[in-house]
Parts: sequence; structure tokens; C-alpha cells
Amino acid sequence: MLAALALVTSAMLLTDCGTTAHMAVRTTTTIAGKVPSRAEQAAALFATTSYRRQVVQAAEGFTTSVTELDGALRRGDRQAAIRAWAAAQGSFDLLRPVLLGGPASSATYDGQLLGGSKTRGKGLHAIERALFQGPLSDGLAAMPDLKAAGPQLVIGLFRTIIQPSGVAVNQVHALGFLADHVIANAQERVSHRDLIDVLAILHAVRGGLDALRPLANLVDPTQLAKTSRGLDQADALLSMVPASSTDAQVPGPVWARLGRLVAVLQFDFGQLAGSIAGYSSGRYYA
Amino acid sequence: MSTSDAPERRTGVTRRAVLTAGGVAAVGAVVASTHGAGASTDSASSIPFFGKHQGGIVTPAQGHLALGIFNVAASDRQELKRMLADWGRAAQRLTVGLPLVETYDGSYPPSDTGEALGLGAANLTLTFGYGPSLFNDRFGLSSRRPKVLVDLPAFDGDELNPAFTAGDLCVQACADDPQVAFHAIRSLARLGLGTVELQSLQLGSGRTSATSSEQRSARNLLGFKDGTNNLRGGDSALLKRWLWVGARDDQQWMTGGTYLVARRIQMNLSTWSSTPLKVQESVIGRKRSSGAPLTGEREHDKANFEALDPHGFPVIPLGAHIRVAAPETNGGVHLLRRGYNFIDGVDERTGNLNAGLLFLCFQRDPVKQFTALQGDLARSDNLSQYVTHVGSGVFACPPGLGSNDELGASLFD
Repeated sequence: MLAALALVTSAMLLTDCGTTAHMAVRTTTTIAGKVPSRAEQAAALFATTSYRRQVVQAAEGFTTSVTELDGALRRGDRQAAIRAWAAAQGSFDLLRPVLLGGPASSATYDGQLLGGSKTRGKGLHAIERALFQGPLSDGLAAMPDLKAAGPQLVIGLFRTIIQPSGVAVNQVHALGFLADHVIANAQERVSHRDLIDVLAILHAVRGGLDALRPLANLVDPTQLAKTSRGLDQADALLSMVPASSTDAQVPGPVWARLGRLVAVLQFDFGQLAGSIAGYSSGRYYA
Repeated sequence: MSTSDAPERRTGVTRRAVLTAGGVAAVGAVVASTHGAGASTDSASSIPFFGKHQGGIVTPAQGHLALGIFNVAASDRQELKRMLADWGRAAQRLTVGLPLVETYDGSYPPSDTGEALGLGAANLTLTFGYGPSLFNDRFGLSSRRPKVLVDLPAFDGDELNPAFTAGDLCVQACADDPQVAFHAIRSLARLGLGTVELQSLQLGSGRTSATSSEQRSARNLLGFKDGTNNLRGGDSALLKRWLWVGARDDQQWMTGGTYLVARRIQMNLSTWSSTPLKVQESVIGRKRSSGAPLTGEREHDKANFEALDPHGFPVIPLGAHIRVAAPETNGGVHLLRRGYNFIDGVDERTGNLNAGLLFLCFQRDPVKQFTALQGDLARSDNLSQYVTHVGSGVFACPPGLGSNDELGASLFD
């Protein structure tokens, strides 16, 4: 078990390149006790390197999807554009908690429909509107921002500091977005394809849990098992619904059950964050 | 049954009849003698309705809020003017704990709904405001619109529900008893039937800001002390600069008035309460237990935004709420905050609590104060990921009334 670390820093920081947004969440904790075991150190390093790999892959996937989307829009290929848009949306859903959900980034990448005129014509929601409501060419206006966003994301991620507990907290945030903005208040209001977000977020959360699994198994196997069970239940629930379903095709009780499972999962990831607090990857840049 | 609950002798329950024949002119006398007309008044716990400024602004924040947002259904200017005058007369009675009428005619539905009988004034204040939409062409008021009274822009992350957004008129009812506050809005809505329609009634319980030096900071539903650096009623110089509209600001009828910004902020409590305490404190920039900034020991210690930790990172993170919202980082801008917690049951889709903050703040210039500040908060406040703004409105609150003034008269004349 962890101990005797004089000073442990758990922090996440992102400098949003090219904008004025600077966000940081940082904690400094002094913990008395003994040092982590070699196995724990290795598991902590695995957690952060594994999670970082997922995040970088998502950023690269986002860039690739945006490029495909741009091409499809220019060719007037609606079906290919829809596929690329869904892939980009899925990548962004994984990245969202790493960006700390900052609305500044959301306006550029996400462009929530409810944000009002300021975010109209921006982000993936502008693309959604073009794909499902109307001329494809409308989506081109959002492309310059989106194309610039991909490389900026990758650059920004190199300045991201993440510790194992931060990985768990990111899953709390991802699930929070799922509950408060997707399940409670549909995001995809033109396409009515919120299942894209649901499945992408749960997939990302599972990736986060997998990254933490070795460390959590050493530190708090009971909590790990409980969290895993909750995620399995959510996946089992959604396996009964075709992935191509529109929001209305998903039965109300499924949404309600999913909402409650997500609330429990949030709590469990919060507990997990506490169990692994203080473990460091051993370097600032994960 | 008290005498005030005796059968009404008059026939008819029109607004005019209720308020003119019902003894509004005698309110002063009734207050002087708490036994007057048998009405139950409690002058010891009442806030004067008349004065240079409206009540409910620098008044020490009461425990409960009922916020009514109205839209004008009538198209006739005189009808609106009459209704506002009637609202003013009703407010005089309600704020001293009187029902709308003294007596009742049992043949008719009662003119006062009765739920506040015997509860006293409970420090009720009624604060009236006019929304930007009141100044369109409907009532010939466009030339009377203050230039800073414009709809708030859409901020990043806003998910506004039309039911809680904009509005022609607002009435903020604050009291020590929730039923008294509710009764006041309900009464005004009934008086305005046919002239105005109630767009929303939002109930708040538990103040989140202190507006006088005698009050201690309260906690919001995130569990943190709120409004530590709020403007207080005794800060005369700051109030003059940041709260009250000056004689040379714009429209003369607003001199001594102020502007109310009302935001309904949904708190994503499930996410927040699953977040480690250390992270919560970093997001806010304060310690939860004491309310002290992360660089201090006591609540009112001045935050040191320059302090760095041993690794060279700011002790109070760049996106911490208190840093982004601090006057020091916003050109010295202050607001007088007067918010309340709201709890509205359970979201049926998620099972999560539907709860948050009714953020109410008063200021001299909403464009230079709230809008500028919220623009920064929406962009870079780490707290943004835990809250969603779902309602928004701005209202011009005229100055207080003299004992011979009618509510709304200065607007129309």
C-alpha cells in the first residue's frame, strides 16, 4: 500500500493552445506512510501510459475522421459524411473529460445546439444539422475550426498531466456528461442519434477502467469488482438496443435504467479515485 | 376565525374593487395599529415598502424566495399601467402582513387566497423589474428603455429553457416564511389575470449570499460557502459605484434603481459529489470546511493568486472559480449577489436530483458587470463542468416608491 510519500501531486492541466482558455485542476497532498511497492509503481505507470495512449489515439482518430468528413462533404456523399461525423463524435466523447469539459473547447469542437447563436455554425453539431436537416454545404462552414482542432488537441495533450486518480475522476466527468447532457437532455437534437454518444462514452469509460485495472486490483479489488459489474450491467442493457436506434426507438425504461446505472457508476469511480489517490506515474507528463 | 376572515360585504372581486375599497389607503394606519381592521400584521418583522430603493436588494437576505416571471398579455398601455399601480398597492399590504382585502363576501370566491393569514409579514419584500421585451412597440415604451437593458447574450455552455428565460416583468418575493413569499406571487398573479400571464414561478430555499455585514456566509448545494466577497448593504461607496443607477447614467426614471440578472443554474450534483474533495477545492479555489482560499486559513483572508506550490504551479489554479470571478481579475467589477438554492425533485430520466442555484445579482450596468464577468466564467471557469445554466433574464428594477407614488408611474409618465 501507498505511504511515506512526502509529497504527492495529482493534477490535470491543459493549456488550450491558441485560445485564452487555461484550465487546471491540481491537488497537492502530503501523505505519511510507506512507499508504494514495485508492483504498485508498475501498475500506476501502466494506468497513466495506457490511458494516455487511448487519449492520443482518440485525438488522432478525431483528426482522421474530420479529414474524411471534409472530403465527404465536398463530394456531396451524405452517407460517408454521416459515418465520419459519428466517428468524430465518438472520438470527441472520449476526449471531452480530458479537456475538462471546458465550454470554450465545446464551442469549437462540439457546438452544442442549445448554446444559442454564439455556437451556431460551429462544431460537430453544426455538422449534424447539415447532415440531417440540410444542405450538406452548410457543414463546410464548421470545417476550418474542426480541422484546426485535431492538431491542437494532440499538441495540447502533451501538456496534460494525469495521475491514476485523475483517470478515475475523468470517468466521473464523462459519466456526468452522459447523465446530465445526453440522457437527461438529448444532445443530438436534429439526428436524434444520442446512442452514438452513449456508446462512445461507455466505451471510453471502459477504456479508463481497463487502464486502472491492475492498480485497482492491487489496491482495492472489491471496489474494482463493483465498478466492473456496473459497467457490465450498462453494456448488457444497451446490448438489447440496436446501435442504429434513434432516441425515440430506445424505450423509456431503458433510458431511465441507464440513468440510474450511470449514477451508481459515477459514485463507484469516485470511490476508486479515492482508493488510488496519491499513486503517481512517477513523472509529470503521463 | 379572525375578523379578517369574516365574510366580505362587498360584491364583486375585481382587482380595482379589491384594492381601492379594500382599504389600501389605510395601510399606514393599519401598520401603526396592528389591530386595525382586525388584520393580522407584524410590523416588528416587516421591511418598509416605501423608500429610496426597493426592498429585497440590500435588505439582509431572507431565507426564502419566490421568483415570478410574467409576460404581458394585454396590448393596452393603460391596462398595464393600472395593473402595475394595483400591484404596488397590493405590495404595500402584503409587506406588512395584511391580506389583499379586509373582509370577504361568502357568496364569492375569496379575494385573498388565505394561505398567509396569521403568518405575519415575515420580512416580505417585493422587488419589481421590467424586462427588455416590455420596451418593444406594444406599449409605446421604446424611448424609455435604458440602453443597458438588453437581453443577455448566449454564453458558452448555456442550455436555456424558454420557460425560465426572459420575460416582460419579474417579481422577486423574499421572506422568512416560504408560504408568505409564495402567497405574494400568487396574489399578484391573480390580480393580474387577463393582463399578465405567469411564465414561471421558481422557488428558492436557503439563501446562498449574505447581503449585510451581520449575516454569515451561507453554503450552496455544492457544500461550499458562497458569496464570501459579496457586496454588503453597508458598503456605501461600493454600492454607489456598482449597484445603484446614477442620475447621469441614462434614463432618469431609473435613478436610484438597479438591474437584476436572474440565472437558473442546474448543478450536476451527482458528478460533483463523486468528485474527490481535493479536486472540488481546486475547482472552487477554497477549502470547503472553512471557506478560506487555498492560500489562506480563514474565510475572509485575501486570496493570493500569485502563490505557487513547490512544483511551480499556482496554488489557486488558473481556472479556479474564485480566481476567474475575482474583482482583481475582472477590472474590479463587483455584483450584489442574492441567490437561493432550489430543489425541484428528481429527473425522471436519470434519477438525479433536479437542483441548483437561482443566481440573482443586482448591478448598475449589466453589460459591463454581469455579461462581462459571465463571459469569462463561461470560457474558463473550471466550475462550468459541474453546472449548466438553464434559465436567464435581465430586468430593470426602478427605484423605490414614495408614499404617494404608484408603481410604474415613473415608467409611463
